[in-house]
Amino acid sequence: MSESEFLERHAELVYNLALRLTGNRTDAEDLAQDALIRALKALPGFRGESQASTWVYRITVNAWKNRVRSEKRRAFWRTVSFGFIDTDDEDGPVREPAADEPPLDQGLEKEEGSSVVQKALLQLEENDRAIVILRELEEKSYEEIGDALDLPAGTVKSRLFRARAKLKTLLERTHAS
Amino acid sequence: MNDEMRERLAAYLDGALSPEDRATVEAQLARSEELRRELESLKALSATLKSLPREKLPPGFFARLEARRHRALKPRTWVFLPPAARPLAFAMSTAVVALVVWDKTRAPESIHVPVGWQGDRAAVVSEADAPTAQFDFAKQVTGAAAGGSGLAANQTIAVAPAAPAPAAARKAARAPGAPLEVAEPAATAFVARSEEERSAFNERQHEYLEKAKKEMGIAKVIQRADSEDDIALDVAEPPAARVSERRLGGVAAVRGAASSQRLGAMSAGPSDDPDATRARAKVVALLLTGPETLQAAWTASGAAGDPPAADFKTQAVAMLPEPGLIVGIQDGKKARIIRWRPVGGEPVLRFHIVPASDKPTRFVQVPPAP
Repeated sequence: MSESEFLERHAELVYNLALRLTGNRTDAEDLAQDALIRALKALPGFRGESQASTWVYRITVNAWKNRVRSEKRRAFWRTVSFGFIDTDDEDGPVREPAADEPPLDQGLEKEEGSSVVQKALLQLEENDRAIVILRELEEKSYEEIGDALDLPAGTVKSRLFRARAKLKTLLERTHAS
Repeated sequence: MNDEMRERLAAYLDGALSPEDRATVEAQLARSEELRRELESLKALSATLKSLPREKLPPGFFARLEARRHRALKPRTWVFLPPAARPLAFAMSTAVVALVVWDKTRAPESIHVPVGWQGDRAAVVSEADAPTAQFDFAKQVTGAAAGGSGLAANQTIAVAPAAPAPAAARKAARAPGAPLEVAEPAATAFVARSEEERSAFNERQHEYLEKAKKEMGIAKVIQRADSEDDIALDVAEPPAARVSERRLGGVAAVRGAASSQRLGAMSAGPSDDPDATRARAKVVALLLTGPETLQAAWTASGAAGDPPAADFKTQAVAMLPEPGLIVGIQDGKKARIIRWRPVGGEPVLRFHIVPASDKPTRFVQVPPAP
């Protein structure tokens, strides 16, 4: 598969996955580009052991989890280093501040329902959020999700069940208020 | 219906069951209204999640991707010295290395220290020959004539021994059969090694907090019979336990059942005693004067979202026993009266920000509007 074919087939998928994982268009583009660059670099070595979409989803989720961990570390050091912050992003170039792109929940006034759902998704833990998105939005099987997240299918099944129960409670509470 | 059945139903919806299991679930669905309702609930949740819109790539996405990729592939730039400068740079770097090596490996200097006096001048010996202690307490002190230094010649100074270390506290002897006092284990931070561990830990914490909330009684505020200045406390549904009062952020909370003595008087039947009648004044509301009690009451009421933000220096939050509206606040000489009317509706309507007051607060329910 050529690079242009790969991008044509998967760039939008990766962007939408990134959008639901981060809840923010600026972060989503940043994450999606990071994931696609990694995928393009590894593309010559891809032998088709899994579907290309599952493979690229794995790269995207791993890139996202790395960012979450880095941000947690930076947030910790921000509280103790009093402004002496190393702003070099070890995962990529320095990120532009999100000045002109509003987060999803502000830019979707006309789509109140979807912003409520997105907010509920953001309250799930990282793996659970990825599992719900891959199952409900990308309609991946338990095995494909397990492949993407390096989890057994049985674990995917039980975590999906718990995540759905939590989402149901969050959405019911929001609806009630 | 247990969680295992719910999980199986979810797998059925996801098309993840074997043909045999699928047939079994379909047979169960045909027999059970509850299962069918649960399946509809799962379908509704799935539809809600699928309602999230799919977005197109933002304009310029591929151009920015290429630029970023180009930056990532750019090789590092090395700085090369002009040929004439290279010997100098080499010599300087070698000199620095040599200096560091010399400093680390040279023998220490011989240090001379003064030791005692020899006649009219200090005797100086090298550090290697210096005694371990500069002063030999075993010897007599010789020196200045008496009166000069306050010491007589050849007077021995007695050096008092160091004060003994304070004796360790003796543990009181334990009476036979008395319980051992065991120090609480030091709290150790939980470090998750995986997402599953973190999820399991968070769930255990949540269960513990829910259990702790259930064990707490429900506090209500009533008037005490003997004085309208005082606010007495009672529980709504007293379990069998001893009452205890503890002030939390300005709200007195009661844990366990009320004492029979006090509540007996409160719940007594009709009486000619006007004080007793007043004692049976209706239990109305709580006045929350701290953020922790507000949060606890908010969570316990089942209201969604965040509690109202009050500036507790000048405000308090009135929690009504049921959804209602504040219709009046009257500041009396001895107490403040807040009048409220039930209106029905959301649990959030039980909470209202009111001005803070130093006086005891009484809540009075007025009839609903006709």
